[in-house]
Amino acid sequence: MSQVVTESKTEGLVGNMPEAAKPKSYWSLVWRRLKRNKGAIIGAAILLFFIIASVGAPILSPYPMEEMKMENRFIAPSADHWLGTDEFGRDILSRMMYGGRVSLMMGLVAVSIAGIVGVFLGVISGYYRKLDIYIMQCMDILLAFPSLLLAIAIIAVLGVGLTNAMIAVAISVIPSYVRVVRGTVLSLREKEYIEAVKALGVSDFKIILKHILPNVLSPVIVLSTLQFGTSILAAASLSFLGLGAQPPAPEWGAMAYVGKSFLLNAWWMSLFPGLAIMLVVLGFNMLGDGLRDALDPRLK
Amino acid sequence: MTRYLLKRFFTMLITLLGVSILVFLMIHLIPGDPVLNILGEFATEEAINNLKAELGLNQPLYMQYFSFIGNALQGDLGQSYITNLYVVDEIMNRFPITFQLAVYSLIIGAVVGIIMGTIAAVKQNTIFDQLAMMVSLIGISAPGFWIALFLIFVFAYQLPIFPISGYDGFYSLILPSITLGLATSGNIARMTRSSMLEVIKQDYMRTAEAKGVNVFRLIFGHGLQNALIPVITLIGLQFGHLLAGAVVTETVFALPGIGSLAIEAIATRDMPTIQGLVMFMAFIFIVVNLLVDIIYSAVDPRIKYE
Amino acid sequence: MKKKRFPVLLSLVMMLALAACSNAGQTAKEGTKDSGSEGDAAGKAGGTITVTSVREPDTVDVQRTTWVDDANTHIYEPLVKFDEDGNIIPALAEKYEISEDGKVITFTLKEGSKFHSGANVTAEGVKKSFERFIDSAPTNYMVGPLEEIVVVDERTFEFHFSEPFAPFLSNATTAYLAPLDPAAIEEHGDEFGNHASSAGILNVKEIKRGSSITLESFDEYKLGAPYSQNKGAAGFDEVVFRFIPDDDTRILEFKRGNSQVMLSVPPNYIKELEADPNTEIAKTLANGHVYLGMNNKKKVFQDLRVRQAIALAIDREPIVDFALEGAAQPIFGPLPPAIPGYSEEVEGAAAKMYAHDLEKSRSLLKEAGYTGTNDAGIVTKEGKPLSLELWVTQEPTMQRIAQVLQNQLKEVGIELKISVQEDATIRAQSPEGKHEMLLWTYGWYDADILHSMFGRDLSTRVHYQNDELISILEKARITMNQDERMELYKQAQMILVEESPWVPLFVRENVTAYRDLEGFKIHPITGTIIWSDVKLKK
Repeated sequence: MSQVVTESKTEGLVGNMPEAAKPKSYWSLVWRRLKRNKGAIIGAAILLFFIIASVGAPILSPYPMEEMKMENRFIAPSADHWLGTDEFGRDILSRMMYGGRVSLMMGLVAVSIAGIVGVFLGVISGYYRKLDIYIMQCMDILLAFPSLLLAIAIIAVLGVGLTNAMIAVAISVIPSYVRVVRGTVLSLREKEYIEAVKALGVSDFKIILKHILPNVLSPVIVLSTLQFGTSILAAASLSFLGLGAQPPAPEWGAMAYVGKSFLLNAWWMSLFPGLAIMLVVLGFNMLGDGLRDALDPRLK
Repeated sequence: MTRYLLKRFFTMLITLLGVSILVFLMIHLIPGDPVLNILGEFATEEAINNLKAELGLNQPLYMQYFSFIGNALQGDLGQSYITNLYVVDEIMNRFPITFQLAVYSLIIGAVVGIIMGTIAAVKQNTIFDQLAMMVSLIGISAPGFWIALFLIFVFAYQLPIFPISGYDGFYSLILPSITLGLATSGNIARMTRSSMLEVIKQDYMRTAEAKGVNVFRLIFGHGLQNALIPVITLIGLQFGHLLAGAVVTETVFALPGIGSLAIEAIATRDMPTIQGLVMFMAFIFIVVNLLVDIIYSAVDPRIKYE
Repeated sequence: MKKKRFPVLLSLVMMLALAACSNAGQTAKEGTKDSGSEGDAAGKAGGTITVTSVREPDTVDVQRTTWVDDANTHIYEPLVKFDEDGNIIPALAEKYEISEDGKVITFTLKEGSKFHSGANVTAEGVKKSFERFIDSAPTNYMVGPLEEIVVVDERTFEFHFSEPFAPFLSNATTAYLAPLDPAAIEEHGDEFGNHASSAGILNVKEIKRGSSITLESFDEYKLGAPYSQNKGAAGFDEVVFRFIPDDDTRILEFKRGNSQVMLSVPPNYIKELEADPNTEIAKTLANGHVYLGMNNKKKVFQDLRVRQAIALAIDREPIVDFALEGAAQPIFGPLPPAIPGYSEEVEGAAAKMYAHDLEKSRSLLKEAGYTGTNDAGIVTKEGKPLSLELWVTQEPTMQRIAQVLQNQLKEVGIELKISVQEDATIRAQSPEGKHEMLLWTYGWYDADILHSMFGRDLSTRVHYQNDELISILEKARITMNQDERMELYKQAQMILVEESPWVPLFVRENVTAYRDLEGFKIHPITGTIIWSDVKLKK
């Protein structure tokens, strides 16, 4: 029974994935479904916008990111400074464009670390049943440890900083990957064709690589998209506690937090970075939901 | 059933043991010395060493761990290094606030989430679907402190409807609960929607619809009931998380819950309080999950115990 | 230590029920909030004043903490106190005498002073309180080489020191050394913090951990200072100190009128509050300063020229104007004006020596061997760029200062890497010398602070040891003659100015905002509220 529950806890991602590695037509089907999903398109469009703005920051940003011009302090949004300036006269739009790189990179790194470790542990746990109990026990421990406190403790050990914040966020996300992957692998293991391949004497490594991993891909993509947003938010929470990016790095969460203390005289300092976080995370959530719908044929 | 419960109980103990080792190791890896926080900026070396001896901090790590776990098993979580209060008392003083906050947030989150999720599912692929999902996702998309500040600014400062901060009964928990509730509703809406869609596609629903049963009654009479089963699990999980205290929300609203206690304890390296709190939070989390599993099996007889 | 247990394996249901019950209790109790605004007879206006503060004292028991501020200090009445010019004047003691050899200080208590419990303040009681202090207070180094306390009669007692201890009287002005009520100590022991009783103008009414401390006016208080008009009990019923960690929440509470006093207003809100017609602002200078500390153990800082080059590259005005919104005063010398021992001569010399001078800074760096420059514009010595890591706490203002410093040092080709560290981490790791530079602060009431920071093996933040300096500081500790003592501190300060082991940046202004109050004053030396004349406006 605990197994059933575990799987449903992963928000219905699991258990209905296509059986074998699918030919191209599967992915084109997914693509067509995704295109019809307005939410996913909106989400993708939002993300594209922010990615272009961040990647193109060195070319597109109207002012240098770190230039302090004290005579330009606290300028409200205007033609010169679309999103206003901060307490050192730095252009907020420019800082946000560079900050997008920090925030998006933060999400990317956290999700990648968690994804790689999580998939690895999940596959092992699901495929080698003897190890399962130990790995899942470890995951239970991680899950039971309050997640923000876990992140704070990890940062306290490793030191404050962006890299360490990413690691901390990644570690607290790992269990959700393990659960999703393990569930998928479990349902695959029982399939006849896997048994058949096994009977043919194909090595475990090959089975995992050729038959298991491709099927794990879809739920992992969906989960990653959603966790991307969660990680950015977690980073913002850490910045609120002074444990995220270090100044003068323009991470959005840190900008929103610093700007918050100028709420009454320069509302734009916290409004725009906060909005950016909200939109990007919303984008990831909508795209993630769309991808889930598209990848899960049962819902159509 | 009994065997199953025994098994769960056993796993629970192992998990708690694991958490205790993890938190213990972490506290000792964290740079920072509680003694320096107790004795202040200008303490003499002699005073530092004496206090270390008194607190048992100069014993080997494993000894410290065993004495901690030994006392914990007897229900003694020790005294705070900083305030000298019993950790058990501190937790029990503050937990009621966190508990209320968790309950109210969950109610808000569940109501909003289930309604939005149902609308989205029934009106799948229409503008209502997108709109409902977007509304419920906004809460999990914005930074918590930002939403909290926005709510305070509008509904407590500009329009003085609610208190700005502090704990003063039910009324003072409304804004914080909305902050947390919004953050919970997104996941619940998402779950409701997908599980609702699943139910709608099932034969009996189609049959009922074909028989001309009112769509509204159909959804709320049969659909929701069946769709709610996985949602309950999720709600339980969220409840477990909420009970661990909402650090950011408690800070912005100046609520003396266990989340803010944890932050203070970490900042001052107050080892007994950190250990006690984490153990307590883990314990609550595990127990809530166990309860959810039991409820889950009660609602869904298809599930069999291993 | 006695133990307290509770059954760990309590079922959740029980626990939740418990939680629900205690909720109900709490809500009911707090639902009927007593405004207490009825007021007494003529002269006493009554009412409740709400003060908001960021940090909650770990306990109100001053013998169990190293943190004293407005929320706990007013419960206590010290033996002596500072007047508004920094002179030591009587408080609980009516007079004191120092023996010829400086080893015995005799105090005589004022007649008729009472503890909150109603008991008289006696010499025997003071002795008991001090014994507890010496025995167990974390700050017991503040009494120096105290050997014994001799009770002469009901109101007279002597402190016997093994050698003269000059900082004692300044230390005795703090709440740490104020006598506690011996009856309360006996009754509550280590629980004293929840039932504190002393002789201060306010006594403890209720302590809610994590949210507030409520103090009420002590009716029998008669020790009002010469600088306040009212010598008796305060003109209000209660003061509630609310602890709100988030400054933005705090300012909204204040602007809405839910609190009358906002302690330590963050710099960025000062202008906003000054513009508010309902609000008045009180400013005092802190009794310490914020400095840029160098770890003098590190090789790079053992070259005086490098230390001086850094000091010369710093322009204090922009830091004060833009990182602190003007709420500070630049400082160049080691001691701030509020600490006796501050010398205008020293300050003037330091200000002249380290006036912002980029040219001189650059040439000093060149002399020190930093002759090259890399692509990023950072000076190099033997190919190695001059890149330094600066430890900063999580406080937003400190981070702002660090960013300005970073920009300023870049002008002369020094790269500053900002590294945010938790407060507790800096406290633990700086004594081990793991840092390169740090942005830190100090505050005290006596020039002996220099000994605490630069004495033998005591330099835990900047690791600067100088035998000449140490011997002067040690001599100053045992010099009871005030003029001679101040002369010694002048010498000590000049050494610090020349040696530049740290860069004093500015003295912060403690800004307090208040509204709907009359007679509100902040003590210019201690920076705490003077409650005697405070009343709520009708």
